[in-house]
Amino acid sequence: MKKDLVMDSDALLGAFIEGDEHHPEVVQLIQDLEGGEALLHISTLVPVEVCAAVVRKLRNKIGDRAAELFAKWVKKNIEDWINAGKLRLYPLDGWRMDKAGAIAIRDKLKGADSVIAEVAEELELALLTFDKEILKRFKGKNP
Amino acid sequence: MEEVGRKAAEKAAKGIWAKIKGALGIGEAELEVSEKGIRARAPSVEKAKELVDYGVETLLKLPQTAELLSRADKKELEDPVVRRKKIKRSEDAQRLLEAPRVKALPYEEKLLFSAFAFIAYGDESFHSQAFPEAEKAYRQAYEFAQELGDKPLQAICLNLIGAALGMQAEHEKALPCFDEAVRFEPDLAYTWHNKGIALDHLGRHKEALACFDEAVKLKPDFAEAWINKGAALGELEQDKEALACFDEAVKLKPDDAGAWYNKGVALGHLEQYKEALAYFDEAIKLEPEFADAWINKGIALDKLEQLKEALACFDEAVKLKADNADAWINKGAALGELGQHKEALACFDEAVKLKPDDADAWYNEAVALQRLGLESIGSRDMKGAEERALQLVKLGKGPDKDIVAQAVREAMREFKERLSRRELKFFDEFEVMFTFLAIEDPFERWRFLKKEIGKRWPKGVSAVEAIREQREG
Repeated sequence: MKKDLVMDSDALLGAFIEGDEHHPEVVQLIQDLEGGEALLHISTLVPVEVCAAVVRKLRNKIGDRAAELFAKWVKKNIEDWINAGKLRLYPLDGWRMDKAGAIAIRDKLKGADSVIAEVAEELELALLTFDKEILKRFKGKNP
Repeated sequence: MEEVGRKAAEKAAKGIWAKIKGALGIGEAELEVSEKGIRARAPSVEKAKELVDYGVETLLKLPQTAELLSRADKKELEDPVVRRKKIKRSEDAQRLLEAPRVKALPYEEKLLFSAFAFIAYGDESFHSQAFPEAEKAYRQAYEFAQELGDKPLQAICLNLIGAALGMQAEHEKALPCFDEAVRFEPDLAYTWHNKGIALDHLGRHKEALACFDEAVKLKPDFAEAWINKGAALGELEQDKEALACFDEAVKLKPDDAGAWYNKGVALGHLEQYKEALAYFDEAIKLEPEFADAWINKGIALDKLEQLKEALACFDEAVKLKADNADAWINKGAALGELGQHKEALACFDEAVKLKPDDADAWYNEAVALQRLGLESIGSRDMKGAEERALQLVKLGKGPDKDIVAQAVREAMREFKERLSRRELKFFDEFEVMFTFLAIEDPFERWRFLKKEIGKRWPKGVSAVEAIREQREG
């Protein structure tokens, strides 16, 4: 059966860092994605957060320009997956803003967490996140 | 006037060249009548034509003309200089062929005239570098020679057909022509020489050497054969023996730039660059537009670490022969050594355009791109570096993928080996770029990228923390 999941930014970022504590779990998912056995759904916020994390964390280690380059390549890779139909993108429009606001009030989640969670609730799919706060507060489905 | 022309023709018939000044009453005119040709010099083309017509008519009035032609030692015609003297200009031969007098000649003599006419026409085409045209004319001449059953003439024609094929780089096809020619006439020095050239082109240097040996044995004053014998010996890495051949050629033809040049090349092979320089200089003195001599002078100077002087020579070579890929490669290499990598890249670009199947040209282009990429990373110009890496990727996917990709791989490997420790640090980043950009499949690229980011990611910071940090501001 095909896996259908909503992905949080930390999970997607983990997929790009070999050695990260959650990397092995996400790698399997990306491999399923490659084989057409999984379909991932993400908020438009996710690629932005992933790229921001890459450039901000790498810049002290390898300098601004090289970090920018890695972030650019990560962005390109995510875009390629989107274009290949492997990742589905959900923009934050007025309707979703309304729903995300309701989740924030209901589950006492932070703003960005609520935007991500809204996609999962809307699609009635599990949210793949390793963030303890979301896992604790969000009342949606578990993966 | 008629009398003057007749006397000249009579002389010609006896094998004596006749030169008539003031022919047809034209003060500056000059008419030459020989046993097989007519040459006219006049103040205008019209007057010259008038003179030639007059000469032809006069010559053909003599019954001995055809007889003289058939008496000619055809083996001598193998020598292009002799041939030019004997057969003269093709227009003369054509005129002879069309003249009513020739038409009335006995069949065999007419065949001979025809063969000569086509050889002359072939020679003319050959000299104007219309080689397929020349080949066609020589083949026509061969047919007449065959009909005549004249073996020496057949051999001459076959040699000429082979030479025309050789000029069209059809060396495999040329070989049987030379073989057949020496079967008809085994003592034809030029044919052995031409066979040697064909074999040389086919990389069969040992066999070529045997042919050049035969040619110089038959004609010891054959300077070109000595040069080619030397070149074949050079290919067989017998540089000292090659030197002796070039010495012989220089002695025989001290005004032949090629002889001096080849000796310079042989000295270069023996790493005697200083001595080689003098020979290249002499070649250039004799033939200032000899591009290869400039290139090799540059190479010798480069070996002697006189880079700026070497660059000036390559500049000259490029100016003289803008379509010579080697000149561009050498200019690029010299610029690279002088640290002018952008300018070097432009030269290698030219070289690969001119010689797209030359691995050396691609190799050099790849090295220049790596050098520029490295410089960009060194100055933290990542955009520039990425641009170079992309160019390198494109290069690796060039039109002839196998040669180019192999050359790029080789260049990457060898270039890396030559780098200092500091440069190596930069090169790693450049290599990451190159590898990343070269991967087309997004999942393959992800596998590569996660590994590289993993190596650089700060220890003790998880993906969860990195995202959380952003959300908490």
